Amino acid sequence: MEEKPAEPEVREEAAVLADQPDGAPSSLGGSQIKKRPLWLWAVVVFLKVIFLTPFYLLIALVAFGGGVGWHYFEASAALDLSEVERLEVGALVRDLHGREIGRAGTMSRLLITREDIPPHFVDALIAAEDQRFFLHPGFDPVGSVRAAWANYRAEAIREGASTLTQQLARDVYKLEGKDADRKLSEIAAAVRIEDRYTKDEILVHYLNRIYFGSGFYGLGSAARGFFGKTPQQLTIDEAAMLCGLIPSPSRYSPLVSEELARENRDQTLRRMRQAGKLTSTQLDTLLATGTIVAKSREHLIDRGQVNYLLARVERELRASLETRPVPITSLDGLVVETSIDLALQQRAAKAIDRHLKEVAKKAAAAGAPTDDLEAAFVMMENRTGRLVVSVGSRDFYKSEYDRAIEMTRPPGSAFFPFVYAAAFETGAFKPDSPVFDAPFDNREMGLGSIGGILGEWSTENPANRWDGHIAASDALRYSKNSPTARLGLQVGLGPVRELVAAAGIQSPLEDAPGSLLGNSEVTLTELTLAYTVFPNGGTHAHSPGMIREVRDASGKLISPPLELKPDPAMSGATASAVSACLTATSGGVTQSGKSGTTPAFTDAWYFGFDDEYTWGTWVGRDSFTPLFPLAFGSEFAKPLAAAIVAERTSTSPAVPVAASEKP
Amino acid sequence: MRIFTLICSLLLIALGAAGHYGWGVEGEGPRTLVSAIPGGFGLLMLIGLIVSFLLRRTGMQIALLAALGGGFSGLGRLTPSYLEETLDWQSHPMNLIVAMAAICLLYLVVTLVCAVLPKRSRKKSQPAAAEEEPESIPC
Repeated sequence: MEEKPAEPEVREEAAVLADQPDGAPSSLGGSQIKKRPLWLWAVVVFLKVIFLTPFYLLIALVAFGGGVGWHYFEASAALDLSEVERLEVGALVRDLHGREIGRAGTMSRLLITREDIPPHFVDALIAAEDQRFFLHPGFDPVGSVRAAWANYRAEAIREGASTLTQQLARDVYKLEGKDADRKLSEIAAAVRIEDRYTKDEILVHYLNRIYFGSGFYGLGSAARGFFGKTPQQLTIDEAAMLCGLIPSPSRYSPLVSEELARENRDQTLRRMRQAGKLTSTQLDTLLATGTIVAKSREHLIDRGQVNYLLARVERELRASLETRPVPITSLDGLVVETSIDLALQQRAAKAIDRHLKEVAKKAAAAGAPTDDLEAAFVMMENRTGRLVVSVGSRDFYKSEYDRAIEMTRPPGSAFFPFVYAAAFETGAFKPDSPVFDAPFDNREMGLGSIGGILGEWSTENPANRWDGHIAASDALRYSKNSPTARLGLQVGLGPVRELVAAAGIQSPLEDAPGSLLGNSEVTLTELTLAYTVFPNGGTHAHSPGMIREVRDASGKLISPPLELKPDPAMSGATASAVSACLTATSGGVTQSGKSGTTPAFTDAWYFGFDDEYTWGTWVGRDSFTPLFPLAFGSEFAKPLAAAIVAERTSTSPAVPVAASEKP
Repeated sequence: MRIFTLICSLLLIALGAAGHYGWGVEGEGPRTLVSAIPGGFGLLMLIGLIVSFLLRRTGMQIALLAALGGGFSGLGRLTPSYLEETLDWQSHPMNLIVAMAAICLLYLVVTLVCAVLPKRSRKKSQPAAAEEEPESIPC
């Protein structure tokens, strides 16, 4: 066939990527090309651009995506797949009496086998989490598209696209975060897991690992904890409730919110119906039935405190081991001796529960809400800062938020001792120096209160009495706002800020006069640590912690020695002077401590100390709203602290000296 | 163009073999079918070449698609490593992937250049060749 030059008006159109039938004579050749009109040529070019260009672009895009997948698949080859079936034995944790608290890093799982999982539980799990589990190779493009579409229609994240295998991979290999890198690593790991294990094995490993909320890891412990049953004994509605918890166990746990737990149970039941695992009649019956969660308050508090302590010890332990020259990542075989008195910890938790019930009665009588009352308590050894008791919430199963170390709140008048200490340190003031107690406009300090039309007056005491010129020691002892404000303004915020920083308070003190009256937020634990300066003669204890010593499987001591003793925050004389102001003898019993109340009565505090220990208590609401008017720390936090300290019997031993401290 | 296709496909097959039997055996990477991917693209290109003797345009389209896939999958394979700053130019797997991407992209460029060259200029420069081998594509 002879090809001739194209006519000027019929330009050739890149015949290589052509559109002609195979083997057919080229339309470019011969006389045909001459006959093709310009409009036809334009149409052909247009169609090529419209159809071929996207096609090639799509191929390029798919190839590029495949290349990215290739990278992640190769990277996942380095994963040790046997880790899927390896659950950490964890570290044995003991309290100060040598009594076993539990194992950190394992979360006290009750392991199950495939035979332990009832068929209806599998149906519920598949319906709730991964409807194509038995069909996909580890990741599910169909499920991802469906989830994306459902979320788009709902204008919210309703469905996740992670398969059970991806969730297992995420848990095993600690693939945190939500970025594309983590997701692709997760998919690659899931594909490898599917290649290595059967679907049944994956199911068992998944159910032994995942978190069901309220401290229950694995199906075995969740079934026992929530329903007092073995997995085989679970009914359909119980299975649906457990599966409904998986997306957000800390929120959906029936011990946290029965309403949310039931909503998610119902959603799972409806999905089971959609998947044909339930009849309409069964669904209606189950939806109308309540799911009873086994609750024993005493039991829950005991177990809750154990789980809370183990979680806290694990966090502390991992942080400590990661900083070693050769980091240790597995806790298996470690033996951890703590300073925690487990019995006292549990009695403290029960005392908090009892106390809050009493507070709730008073709040109800005052017309205030009663549902979100919370409290926390910390007791630490003066010498080392080691924690003997640390209760972070009323009920760990209901709220895992640790109010002892994570929550920051304004300490109010519990902060006053540091203002007086700073004043005494200047040498210009002494405990018997006169200070002036008279009405003081809170707005000068940037404080809001509940007294006066504009909240300008603090309620000093129920009688709202003003004493005129009084000794500084009395102003501190009786927690007088106006003399403290005047004294603080005279001393200045700078010296106070330096002193509290040296006393161990790491939370920043706001650059406002209100900080002098305890308006800057601190944590309960750091303020308790700061109070150790008074019994310690001016120097705070070491950083608070629970771990005394850690030994590896061979018995070798691997915990680091205590840090160097901190620099003093104040002179011994100042510490003694402030201690004397805070000490009173009543009925033959000498007590040292200071209560704290915020001007709006949102927080009630009490800090006490003796020669061995310092303790701190907080009572308030998560909502940051007032407990109720005139809820003073001396009435609502001090009695709680006293009740807990009274639980510490005279036979309770002191915290043993750690091996690393022995000469 | 066919000779160029043959050379590229054979090079890719050799790379795939090196990947599968070479770095896998040397312990530089997993000895899986994944490491033979360059060979897969080379094989596809070779098939395209063979097909082109029967169905010219279809065959060359297959070869072109293979090059497109190889080039862009190579780029996709390298991009995350580049972003993570983990590109190791000393490792054989990395060199082979770079080589695969380079061969495929070169093939792609050459093909596209040949495709978009004005036929008239080609005719002017090689009138005899065009008359002798009218079924072959340019270049």
